[in-house]
Amino acid sequence: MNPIEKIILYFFQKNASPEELTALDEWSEKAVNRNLLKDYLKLWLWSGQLKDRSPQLEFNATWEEIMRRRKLAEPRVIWLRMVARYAAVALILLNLGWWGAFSYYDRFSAVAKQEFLIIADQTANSVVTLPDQTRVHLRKGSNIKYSSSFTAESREVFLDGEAYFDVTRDEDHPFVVNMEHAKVKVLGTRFNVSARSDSYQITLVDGSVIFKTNEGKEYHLLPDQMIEMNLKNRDVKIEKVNTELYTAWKDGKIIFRDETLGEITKKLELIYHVEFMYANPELAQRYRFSGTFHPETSIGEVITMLKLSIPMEVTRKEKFPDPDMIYLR
Amino acid sequence: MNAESNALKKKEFEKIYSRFFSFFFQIAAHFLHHEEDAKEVVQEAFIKLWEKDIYQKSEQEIKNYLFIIIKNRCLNLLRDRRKSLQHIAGHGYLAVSVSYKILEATGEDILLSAELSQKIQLAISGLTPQCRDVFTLSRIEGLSNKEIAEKLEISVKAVEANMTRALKKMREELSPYLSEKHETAMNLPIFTFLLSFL
Repeated sequence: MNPIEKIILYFFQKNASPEELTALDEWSEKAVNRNLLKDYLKLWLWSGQLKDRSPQLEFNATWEEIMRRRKLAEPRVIWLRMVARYAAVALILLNLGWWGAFSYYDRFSAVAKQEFLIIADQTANSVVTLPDQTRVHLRKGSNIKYSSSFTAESREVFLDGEAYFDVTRDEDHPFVVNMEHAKVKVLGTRFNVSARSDSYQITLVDGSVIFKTNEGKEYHLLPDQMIEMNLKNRDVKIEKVNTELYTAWKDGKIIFRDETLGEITKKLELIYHVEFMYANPELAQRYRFSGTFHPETSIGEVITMLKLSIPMEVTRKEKFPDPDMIYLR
Repeated sequence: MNAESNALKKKEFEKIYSRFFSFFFQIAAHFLHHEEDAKEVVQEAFIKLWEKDIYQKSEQEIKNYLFIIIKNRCLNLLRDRRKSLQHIAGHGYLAVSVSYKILEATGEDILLSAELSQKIQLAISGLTPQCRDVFTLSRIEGLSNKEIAEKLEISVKAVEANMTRALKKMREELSPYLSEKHETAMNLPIFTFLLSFL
């Protein structure tokens, strides 16, 4: 077998054999060796032409992409003219001829509503202003529907997914968020609604709202309270929460405020491809942590952040393709 | 009414783009072994830089930000690739696996090397003549081992041996500049920087 320096050279030049790669892989298991390899890498990169070359991708290409995305991020409004009604009008035209058709058409067009469907696609949250100036932050992958009669009679929207509402006050026209199994009724306030297939969560930031299930049960919600309805067993519970935890998504960040280490690691497991193991389960309960971080922060950096305020030992083990194991002691 | 300031902002962004694109592209391409992917990753990072207005910050902050994003995206790509290759468990899988490991361990210190590139120049000139020629042709001129062998009329084996020797010697000599002795000092500003735009 070649000396390790030669294998490193082959690796950098991309012509190491499988045996050599295996050897390198094993050799770099040791931290000392890995550091050595990093030194070689730095030397390799910096002795090459890292500096001062023109971009491999023209600026204009990137600029166009930025412009294209800005357009996409603006919420798309789709007009769903009621197809059935058109079909009805068409049928009548065929059956009655023009004279009859005109009189019928007038009546139908008065009835016909336009529906607006606003979709936030999978790539970005959207912000929508409704006709009454209510602001809706629509979480990616969610959609909201309302009709052309929106302000005239009542203010009703239909939500699928998650949205944060900042509702303009109008006591004559309550604002209603409809979901499949329940609705939320408000006058003017700020709140978050998450309508998922297994549960509904409504978090009230301020004002007051009424949560009403399709079975007719009503619940009053106060600021800083969250109501949660389990759609399987229909259990409803109300608890006091830190609303920021449930609304932070609209600003694109993740917030931990005075949560136990156990709660935090549970959330981190959802965000990152990792699993946490406690040597002593008491650790999960003993420490609390407050802080915010940007979703692009790597798990390593998040842990560094946690370690600054919680005295613990962290060991990370790669379990690929399973989630990496992170042991906390 | 904002057209003028927007044009200015765009210009400023373009300056940063021209200055750093190639640098980060080469780093990404080294780890990904794939130029198209590398272009995409770096482009994506610059788009974020624009969207989050970070291109107006200091050079160090810009570089750190780009590095963090590019590193994470590269790691994700390598991870996916490793996953799709694991059943074949052959050469590609191993190469990706090693790249992943090195990249994961690579910190922002890879960015700050104005001093290092000078030291490297010095160290190259201190090599034995054949080592120096081979190394320069390979790293600076970008020739392949075979091309160097033909040019210098030596065997490919000799080219490899000289390259290995050059690398080893330079690594030893430059170790104070290569190793992450500044790591803790370095991590702190990055950390506070990260916090600053949360």
